[in-house]
Amino acid sequence: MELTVETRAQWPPPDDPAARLPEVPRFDTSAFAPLLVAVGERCLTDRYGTPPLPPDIGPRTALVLAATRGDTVTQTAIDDAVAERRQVPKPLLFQNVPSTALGHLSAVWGLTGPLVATLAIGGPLAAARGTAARLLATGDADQVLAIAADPGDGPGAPGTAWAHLFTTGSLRTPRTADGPVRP
Amino acid sequence: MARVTGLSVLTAYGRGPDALWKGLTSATPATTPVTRFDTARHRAHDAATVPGTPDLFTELTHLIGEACDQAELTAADRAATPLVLALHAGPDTAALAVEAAGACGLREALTVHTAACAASNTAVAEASHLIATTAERRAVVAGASFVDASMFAAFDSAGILAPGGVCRPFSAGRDGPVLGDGAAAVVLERTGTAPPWAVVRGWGNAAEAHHVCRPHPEGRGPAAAVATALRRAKLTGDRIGYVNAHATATPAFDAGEAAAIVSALAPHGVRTPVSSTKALHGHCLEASGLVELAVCALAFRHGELPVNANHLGPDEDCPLDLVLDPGRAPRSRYALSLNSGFGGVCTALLLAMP
Repeated sequence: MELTVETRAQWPPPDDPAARLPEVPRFDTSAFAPLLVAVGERCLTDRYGTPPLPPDIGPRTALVLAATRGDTVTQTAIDDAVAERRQVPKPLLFQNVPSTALGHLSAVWGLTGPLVATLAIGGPLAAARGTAARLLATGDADQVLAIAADPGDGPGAPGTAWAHLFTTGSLRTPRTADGPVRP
Repeated sequence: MARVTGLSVLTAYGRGPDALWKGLTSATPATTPVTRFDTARHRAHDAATVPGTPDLFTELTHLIGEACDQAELTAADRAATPLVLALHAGPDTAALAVEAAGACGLREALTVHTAACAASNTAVAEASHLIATTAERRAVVAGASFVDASMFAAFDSAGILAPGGVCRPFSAGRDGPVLGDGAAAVVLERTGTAPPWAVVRGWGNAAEAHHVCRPHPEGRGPAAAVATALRRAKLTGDRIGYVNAHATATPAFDAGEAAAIVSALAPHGVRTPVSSTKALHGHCLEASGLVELAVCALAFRHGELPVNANHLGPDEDCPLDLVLDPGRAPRSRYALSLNSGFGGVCTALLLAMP
């Protein structure tokens, strides 16, 4: 299927490679969720300005993740707590699930289309694009925010992520020199 | 439509569909005190586990082989068939998926779905879509989740597990799930020589967009997933004869899901037979959708609905027609299997009796 890239984003930003990831409430152990949220928000902000999406667009917007691995930092924090016979901090249960970060994005932006979290077999960009194309082909969404991520292995190394807002070309909305225009 | 022509399953009831069916019809939970690791420091101490400590790769490849044998797939068939998986996202899981496909003689691993308790359903949806709309004639879908010390500790610390080791879905006095070992594999085919267990007629997936780990009280997400599954299957709510619910016996989630069933199947939702079999085989996390697909297929094959076990009494927040007694027959040849996960991902599979 031919996809149109409506907008795209990358973390770290090419023009600010040392940028600090914004904090995400309830996700403070690992950079995994902040990485996904940061790159997804940049993409949506570029297109729609501020959240939420218009009520006719949010339900037709799907959310896809293709990551090279899970949140190894959070998993290690849980494993270490168990090995040291410490209490596992309560938020780590949900932080250790990739779909939770996507759920944060969907709640803030009102994205109620399909939500699919995957591990990439091969390159994450191609995997994210492939799943986005499949979801568009089902007819269950008109656009897909597809996040490809190569998460880092430590709190100080968040990794890299890319976000694309894909359509089949039928959702074009006007833009002005001042920025995005809400459709 | 995708026909389920091969099905293998491992739960705490034992290996294979017959062991699962025997356990379901016993209406006795497979829960026992955990011996795999020390639970002395925890609030909960029970789970539905198989003996010993299963190896994920060994069990997955064994189950995939069994399902392929049952579907009568030749080596050439397998070499043309992709694998779609549902697993917890670990550091090396993608590599494990590639290795598993190779070990089973399958063409390739396509995707590993990781959306928590909804992972199996999104995996089945991907495979079904590929079979329905692309040149793929078949796909294998497999998933597994085995209770380990870290998983148990994280759930326990979050205060989610039933402290008494009894999961009571939709019941008064419910206080959480019991974790369970689960693994299963299915062969989905457009056609095929083996008699099918069931047919995947539809599926739906919706983000609830309410909270990362709390449900919308009206069950907005599962209701949307059911609506999409019905639309895809070109069926109306009155045609659904059984719902295998996600219900984990978590007070708020069960109430939200009950509201979703009532509204999405309205005005028939309150009269549609519902059970959550997590009370019996435990909560199998990423493998839930596949284990519960097997439950629905077995219910079709035996003409009997599995019970909603451990029910103490009605809860006004869950006004459902629960299957409380054994021997009840499906009301029609269509069933819904629901599963939702952290992040508000809500899924439905619509299965038809062959």
